[in-house]
Amino acid sequence: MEGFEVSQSETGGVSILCLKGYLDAHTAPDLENAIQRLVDKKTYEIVVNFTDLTYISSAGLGVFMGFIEDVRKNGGDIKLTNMKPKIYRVFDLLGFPTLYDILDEQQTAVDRFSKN
Amino acid sequence: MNQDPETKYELQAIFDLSKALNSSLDLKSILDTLLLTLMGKFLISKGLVLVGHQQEKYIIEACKGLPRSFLDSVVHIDDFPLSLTFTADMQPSTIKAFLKKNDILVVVPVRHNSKNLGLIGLGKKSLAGEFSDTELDYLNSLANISATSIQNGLIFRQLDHEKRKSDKSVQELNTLSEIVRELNSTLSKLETNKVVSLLVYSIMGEMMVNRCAVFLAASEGMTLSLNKGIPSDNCSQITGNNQISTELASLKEPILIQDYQDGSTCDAFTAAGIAALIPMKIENENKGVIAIGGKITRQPFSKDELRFLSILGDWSVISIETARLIEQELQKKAMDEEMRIAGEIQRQLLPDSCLTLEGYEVEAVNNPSRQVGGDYFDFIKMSNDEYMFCIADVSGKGTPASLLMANVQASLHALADTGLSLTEITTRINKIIYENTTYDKFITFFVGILNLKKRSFTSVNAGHNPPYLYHADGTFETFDEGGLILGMMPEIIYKSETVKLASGDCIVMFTDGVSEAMNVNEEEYEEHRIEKCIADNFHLSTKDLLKKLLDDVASFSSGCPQADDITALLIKVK
Repeated sequence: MEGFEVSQSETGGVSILCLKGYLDAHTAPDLENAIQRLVDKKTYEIVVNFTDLTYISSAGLGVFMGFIEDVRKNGGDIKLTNMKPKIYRVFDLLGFPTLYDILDEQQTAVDRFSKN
Repeated sequence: MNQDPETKYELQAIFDLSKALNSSLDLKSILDTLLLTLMGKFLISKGLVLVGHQQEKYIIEACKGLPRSFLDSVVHIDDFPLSLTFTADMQPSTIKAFLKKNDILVVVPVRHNSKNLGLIGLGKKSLAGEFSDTELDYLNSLANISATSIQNGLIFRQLDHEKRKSDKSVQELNTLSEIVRELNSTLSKLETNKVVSLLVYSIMGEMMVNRCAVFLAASEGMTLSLNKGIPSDNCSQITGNNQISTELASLKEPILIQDYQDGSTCDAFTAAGIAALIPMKIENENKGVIAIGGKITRQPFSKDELRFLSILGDWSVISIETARLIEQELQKKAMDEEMRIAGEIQRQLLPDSCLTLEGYEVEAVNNPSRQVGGDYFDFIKMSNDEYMFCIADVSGKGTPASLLMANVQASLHALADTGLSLTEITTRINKIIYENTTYDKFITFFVGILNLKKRSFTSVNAGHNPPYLYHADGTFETFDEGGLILGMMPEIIYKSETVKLASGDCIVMFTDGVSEAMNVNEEEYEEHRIEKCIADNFHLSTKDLLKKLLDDVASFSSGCPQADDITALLIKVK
């Protein structure tokens, strides 16, 4: 089975999480820990870049549900970018576009944060 | 051909519209184009399109100049106008009232193959003037032209909806298969926590909820396994309340909290932000419950979704149950191994069961229970004339008890040949035990020194079941002198007693494994049965007497597992 990696960087004061590989129930805790670390540091402006993500299961989406309320309450947001059509389809099917800012480009998401 | 420029313009407009309408399959954009064309043509600032949903229900799919909140709301049309109709001419009805209230002056039906697809409604013209006949004809034409496009848009939407539904089912199947994959993963890798966390994540993603907790049935009621978004305090209020916990355990079908009859139960769930409960069953037996909060989108849970959650729960709990059984089996194995080691330690610490002394018969026995208690006995040669005898019972079972017993044994052997008195030795051992153990660990301890030549026996009893001194005539006394059990208090002064022994005397030491052996009626063997057994068989050799005693205890407690080690030590003066 393919692995999963999450790497963190920063652009213009916004934290970027780049996901790579296979995000399912087994790897979901890795993502959860990565977001938890940001939230613990009171970093609430988060962009998740899906460029290198090849698969996502419902459990992977579940991780975002766990944080969104807390992050928004603190004036931040989790914006999702650069999804392959196959990945976007899963988000779309489960109704995520109504709740989450899903954008084509990482930079657009970063810019949105700085505008606010 | 009419060359009137206005007519020419209208024809051009109809052509443009028809082209625009046919270029899209998206119903919303078709209707928007239609509405904007009409409003631009007639200079009208209000318009809407209602599209048939089911029977007499129509949905506002497009509207301009009216509140956007109108979009997607349902309007009831009981008397569908089959041709262009002015609101003012309609029979009183809900639709008439609705149109009038929103200044919609005229409605045109959109029909396709004599099926009512929808209704276009327009407000009054901004410039003064009524609709001319030509304009009304034009309106009718547009409605006709757009009918096919709207029909196509509706079919496309239906297809898209079906595709979405089937994709959603595939997604649900993916989630289920992930759970099943977990079930089939190498059994040794299967862990309850992993399955539960998989379940919770999947539900949160699948249902768009951010509150989810899993409760699992245990012997003591419902216990919390994992909670996300629901505070632990709320969860313990649920598991801590007998009535609620019982209710969870008896749940057989998914239930929405809003449907709950009982107010107080309902309040506890509502306070925790829980919107629905889904039982997890194996062969219709409730093994746990999933509690979830409402959807972030505030949409209600559909029947299909509850059914899906129910299936997900049932599948997961099979994995959870299997994982639990495996964990239990591993724990049992670890415990058996610990007991084996404890038994090993114990065996190595105890001496042989008999000792040959001139003028005396000495016989001992130690039958460890399956759980391995902390019984200990010993004989230590101090000099040619003096032998030390000891019997003790360490609190607790298993390895900890064995290790403490090893401690006592080492201390006793080290102190035995220091020349210290028996009371001083006991005081020192007590101090060592006190300093090396926690308050809940203690030892009952009896130690005595037999002087072979003088035929005397000096003893200290630190809280042990008083041993007997039987005389040849059948009378007996007990060894009580001593002090507190070992390990309770640091500084204790112990007392000793010395008795003269006569021919035929027999010292009988035992542990509570003998006196407290239980029968099926939960009665204990007790001292009086020991006394009777010894009195009845006093004529036998120590070996046979001991065997009789053990047989009697065994027959008394037959049918009950041996709960504690059984140890006894006999010294008979020839």
